[in-house]
Amino acid sequence: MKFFTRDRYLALQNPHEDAMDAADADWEAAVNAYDAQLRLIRPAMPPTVRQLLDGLYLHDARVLSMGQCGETFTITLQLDVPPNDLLTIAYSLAGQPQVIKEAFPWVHNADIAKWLYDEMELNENGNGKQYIHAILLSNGWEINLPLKDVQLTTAVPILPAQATKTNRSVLPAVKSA
Amino acid sequence: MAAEPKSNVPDDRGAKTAPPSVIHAADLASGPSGGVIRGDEIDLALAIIRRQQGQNVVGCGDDLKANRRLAEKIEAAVGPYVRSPPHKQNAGPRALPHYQQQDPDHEGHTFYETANQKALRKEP
Repeated sequence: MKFFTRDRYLALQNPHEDAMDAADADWEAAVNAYDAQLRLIRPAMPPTVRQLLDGLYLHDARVLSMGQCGETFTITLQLDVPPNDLLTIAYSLAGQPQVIKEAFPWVHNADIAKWLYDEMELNENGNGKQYIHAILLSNGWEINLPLKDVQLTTAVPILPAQATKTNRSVLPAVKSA
Repeated sequence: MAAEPKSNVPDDRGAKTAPPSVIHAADLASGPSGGVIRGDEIDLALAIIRRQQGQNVVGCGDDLKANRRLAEKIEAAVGPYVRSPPHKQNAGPRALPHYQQQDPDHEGHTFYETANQKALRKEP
């Protein structure tokens, strides 16, 4: 990650008001810098990569599985927004994926994670252009996936039907508007 | 648990004219917008119950810092939390910053409004 980094995310957790203001300003600057970079590289992106960036709400999606088979890396998510669709992202790899398994200090079980932030980078080297999708998960892991293209498949969830609602059966229901 | 007044985070740093923050029940909008739909106004006690249940609430008002403090107060009453700002590319153009539980099995968020990003009003 170059923009939505672990360090920036950790800085956001400082509870002091001045520190929160500073972390928010730093984050906003990162958002603007990333948006500027994205505008430059977006036109040449494969359409499915643009759809991955623009057409889906990935933040806080539950990571159900992640794995590699040959030159395909697959991530399956359950989206946080209703109706909690399942999304499978199949990356056609252009190089070796990198998984940095450095958990956040508060994480007790790194096997459970949600999608926090991602960014698309374009690296140019002797072999030409290469997109890298960098992903930061809620357990602190960072995934870097060099890609040629992606395939996106969504499905109506049957199992798991929808995101777990903690303690719903214990506490009284709340009347909604 | 005793209910507290809805106007519960006074800003002692000079924003004397800003209306106080208020709490609303909230739902996530479907689709990629990242929008947060605000429902009925609720008090602090009910907001904490909603969060304990894994549901969403939103702190609304014109004073960002007051909204943020209110959101933190709600989430802290539930358990250890993290704070996440929006990122337009994957949280949607209408996304709000929020607190949520460190435990990834605990669903829901406590959102808060900023000067520029507001919760969506429920259509009649």
